[in-house]
Amino acid sequence: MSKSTQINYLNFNFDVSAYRLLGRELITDRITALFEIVKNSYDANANKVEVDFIDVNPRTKKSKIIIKDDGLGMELDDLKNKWMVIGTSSKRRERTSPEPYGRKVVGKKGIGRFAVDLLGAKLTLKTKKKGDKKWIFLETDWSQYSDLEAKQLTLPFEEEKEFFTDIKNEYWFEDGDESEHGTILEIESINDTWTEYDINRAFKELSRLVSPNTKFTKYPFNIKIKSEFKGFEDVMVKPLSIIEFATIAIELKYDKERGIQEIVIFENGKLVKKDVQPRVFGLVDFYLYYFNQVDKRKFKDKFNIDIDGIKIYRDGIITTPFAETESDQNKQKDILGIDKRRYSGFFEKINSRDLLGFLELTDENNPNVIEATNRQDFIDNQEWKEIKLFIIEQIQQIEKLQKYEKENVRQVTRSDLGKANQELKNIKLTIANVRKEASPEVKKQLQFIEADLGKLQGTVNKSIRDYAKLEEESKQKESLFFSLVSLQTYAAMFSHMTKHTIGHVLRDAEYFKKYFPNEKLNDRFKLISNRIYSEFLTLRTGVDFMLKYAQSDNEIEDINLHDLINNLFSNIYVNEFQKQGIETQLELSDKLILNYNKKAIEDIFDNLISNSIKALKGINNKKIKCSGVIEQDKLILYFSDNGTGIPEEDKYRIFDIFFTKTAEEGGAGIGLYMVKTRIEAMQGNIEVIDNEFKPSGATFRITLPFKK
Amino acid sequence: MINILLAFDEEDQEIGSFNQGCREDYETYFTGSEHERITYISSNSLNSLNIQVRTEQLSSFIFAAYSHGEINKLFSKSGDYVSSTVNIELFKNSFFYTVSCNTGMQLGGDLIANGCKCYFGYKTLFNSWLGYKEFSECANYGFFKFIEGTNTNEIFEQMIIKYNQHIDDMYVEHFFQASLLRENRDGLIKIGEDITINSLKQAI
Amino acid sequence: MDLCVLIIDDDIQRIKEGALIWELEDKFGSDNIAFESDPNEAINYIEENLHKNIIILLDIQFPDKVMNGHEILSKIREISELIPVILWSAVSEDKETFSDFINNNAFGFLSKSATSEEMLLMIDRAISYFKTSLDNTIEDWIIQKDGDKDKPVYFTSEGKSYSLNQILNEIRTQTDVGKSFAKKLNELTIDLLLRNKETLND
Repeated sequence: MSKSTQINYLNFNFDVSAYRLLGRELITDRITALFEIVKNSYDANANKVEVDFIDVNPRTKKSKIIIKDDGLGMELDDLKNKWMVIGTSSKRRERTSPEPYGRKVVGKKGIGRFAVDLLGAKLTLKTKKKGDKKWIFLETDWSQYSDLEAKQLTLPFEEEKEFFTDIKNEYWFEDGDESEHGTILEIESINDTWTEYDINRAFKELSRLVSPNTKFTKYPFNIKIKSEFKGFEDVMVKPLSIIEFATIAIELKYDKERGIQEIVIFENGKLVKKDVQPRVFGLVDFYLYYFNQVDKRKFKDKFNIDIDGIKIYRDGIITTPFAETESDQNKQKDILGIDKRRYSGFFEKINSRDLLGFLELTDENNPNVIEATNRQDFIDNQEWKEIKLFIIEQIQQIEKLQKYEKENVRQVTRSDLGKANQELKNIKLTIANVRKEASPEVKKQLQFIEADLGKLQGTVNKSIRDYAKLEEESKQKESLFFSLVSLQTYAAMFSHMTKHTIGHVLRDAEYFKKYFPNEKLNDRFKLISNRIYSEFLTLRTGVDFMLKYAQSDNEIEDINLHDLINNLFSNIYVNEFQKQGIETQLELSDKLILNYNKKAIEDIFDNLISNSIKALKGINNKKIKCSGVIEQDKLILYFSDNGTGIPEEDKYRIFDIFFTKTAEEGGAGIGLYMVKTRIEAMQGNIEVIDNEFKPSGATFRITLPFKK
Repeated sequence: MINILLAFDEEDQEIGSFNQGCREDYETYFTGSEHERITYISSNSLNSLNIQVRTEQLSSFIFAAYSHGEINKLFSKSGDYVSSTVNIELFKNSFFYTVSCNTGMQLGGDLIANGCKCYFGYKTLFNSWLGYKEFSECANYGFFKFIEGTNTNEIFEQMIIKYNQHIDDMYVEHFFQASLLRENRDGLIKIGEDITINSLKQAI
Repeated sequence: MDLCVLIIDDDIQRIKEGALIWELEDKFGSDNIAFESDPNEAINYIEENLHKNIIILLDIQFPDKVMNGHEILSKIREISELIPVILWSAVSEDKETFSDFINNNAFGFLSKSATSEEMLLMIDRAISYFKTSLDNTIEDWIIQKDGDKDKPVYFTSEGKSYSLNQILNEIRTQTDVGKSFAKKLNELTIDLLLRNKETLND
């Protein structure tokens, strides 16, 4: 048998309902559809998009939605090869719009068709490029085919069905002005009624597309909504005037000429802006607004939107990971990691429902912050990591302010209560005096009043006691916590000791017990007794140090600072220093007396030493040095090591609670935070200054007021 | 006169020398015997074509095979020369005696199902250890007994006894090797009828 | 039995002078106690002393740059499954050491604060193990043999052949073939008992 040389082909086809079903999968709701269409206008270099809702409530044959832009428009080839091509959101080849706009493309390819389709069944598309003489009109009408579809179900099987690809879309030309350009989508046979609420929602969502801070964009993009509803007859979609409602508003800008980035720092009870070096991700503008409960409510009442965190814009337009509309707040992805923070302070953590933020990137200044190809996130490079840290740092400053203010309120309350008590006492006294001179009826009334005052006083006293108890408990908890975590830095040392000490001592004692007396083994017995003694001495030192944490925190005493630090260097840490080969220097007058709580001071230096040990890993000629000078009524201490040093961007961060780069070596990140807190509690200050040891190292400068 | 076909794969890399040793035992045994129709098939001829040629015309014969085996075949470097799928029916009316691994699991049964009168073989590994004659003695014993006229049921019993004798003599000094011999013994299997060499002759 | 105790620990100096070593030397002879603080050296030592019955005391916590105890145990197991390795650690028994018991067949666990007596008990258990383990018995038997151990001596008509050294390797790495030898020995023992050639109370 021979094979036929004729080769035939069959083509795939699918019917109309399949096409429409596909669309539903890709675009799930009307707002998304509008969003996509408007994004396409943006990508087509439009300056203005107008969305006109005509007769949309209730839905009638006359209902229309007209979306009109003044963008580049299309020619016939574009219609054929782009508009008429069914695509799902795949990668675009061009990532920027045509020159001179060069906008980063935000719309998804091939989706426009489906977006329109979700809004209505009949579309009349009019489009024209600048310089063309005629407008192209294209008509698509599914409403005809839904009738046809219904009929097809009753047709006998053998009859030919019309395929989707057979459907003819009529197009024709009409004269136009050469200078005109743009695309107009006229949608009829709309699928849903649009109520005032729907228009409002559309307005709000569209307002998120453009950054509120765009003053600098050369090519503006404005969206207008027209409808029959009050307040939306002819409105420009513009971002909300947030700043009036925010509890705290922070606007950080940059100066390109001077190469300066603004950041905000909590200092002395206030938020202050500081100028710093540009960070590795480049210069940025950052607008951050914090809302407390009261202001949140006001905001929501006025605008009816949720406060939903921080978003990133590039060149004035929202970046894609933040561009998807997600009605369920819980499902919104927290790609900045604001709510995931585990290392924030316990009581003052702010989450993204308290914040509105706009981080403004530009292509020019921040080229390395790049969206991932899945469009859900950013590429996890150094720049992205640093940006996230930057954002969180600024949030942390607000958290510190919150904490400070809460503490103030506490104090005020305390003193207010005290005052109230005092005033009650005064009133009682006055009444007692009046009573002496009063008539019997008045006396009786006064007695009642006195009784009431007595009750009131009782209440106030109880409040004062309760308050004091609460404060005490809260302080104890914090204090305990700090103690526990400082302990962690011992844990490693202690386990080392256990490993090497206890076993040896135990076996030595065992040997002695088993074999004594025995002339022949006397040399061994001698060795044993020496060893046991010295091992126990070492153990004792460690145990002593740990026992201190069980004691109360409050005693103030005179402390010889030189001896205290020397004890740490030459006793407590001597084994560790020997093992690691660390040399220490102490240049401090031994006549220097501080009047404070000894444990607190020990903790401070213990942590600084611990910190230095970690920084010195892998270094040759390890050195730790502590020196100090007296200036008027202040003691200035310098604590230095020649370790790996502290990077510029960490200079402020390292004192933050739970900031740690040494988790692997057992750091919990509490150390320097505690140091700073303790020092500030002593009315002192600590900061990182230019390092003493070159080429690398770290130097802390500690200022303390002292009495002698 | 009955045809006796003896296949020995003496060129095999691993067990060639064992097979060679057994062949020499057979040659010694048959020296001066009345049996005239003895054919030795060696390594190069151990293929299915040759087997076919040699057995096609025979109405009954005795067959012994010392080579590699698997559960359903005997093979040499020239290929499978007895196999459940290739030439099983050639062994109708034969006495089949083999020292190879595992053929007792399937090949033996297939042979009997296809007319072979009686089969001796092993359903496990067949072990041997260099320098220990006990392995080959036990291996050969049953065949010689058949030539001498013992019936196959009896042969099986006696082979077991032989194995046990050697195991018991060996184990005190050579426990390891004895354990391998024990494995051989427990792998030995006989399938088919209780025949003698004479009953086979009469089947011609 | 040619016994030897190998201690692998980074703090070897302290241990060498300790009471435990006095006890071990008195019991086994000072020539039979070895110390290694470098993991690679320890592995070399084992490879060169496979003909002896080695008991290993292995510290789990090594400085990070070097191989840690778990990795050393793995490496030892690549050489032989038959060497008892006792984990010796300051860390209490926890998930980590537990998984070593399962995956790498650690023989036992001793705390760094154990008494010499407790440690000797564990070592005695390891010695018993040598005596009762069939695989170790076969290993010893092969080790003691003279002659060329690379010559193939064991054949199966399945097409496999083994020299004594190959059998040794199979047993040490506990392959299926390796495990089958102990099984065959057991089966012979049972067979002899059943046939009344031997009795249990010998």
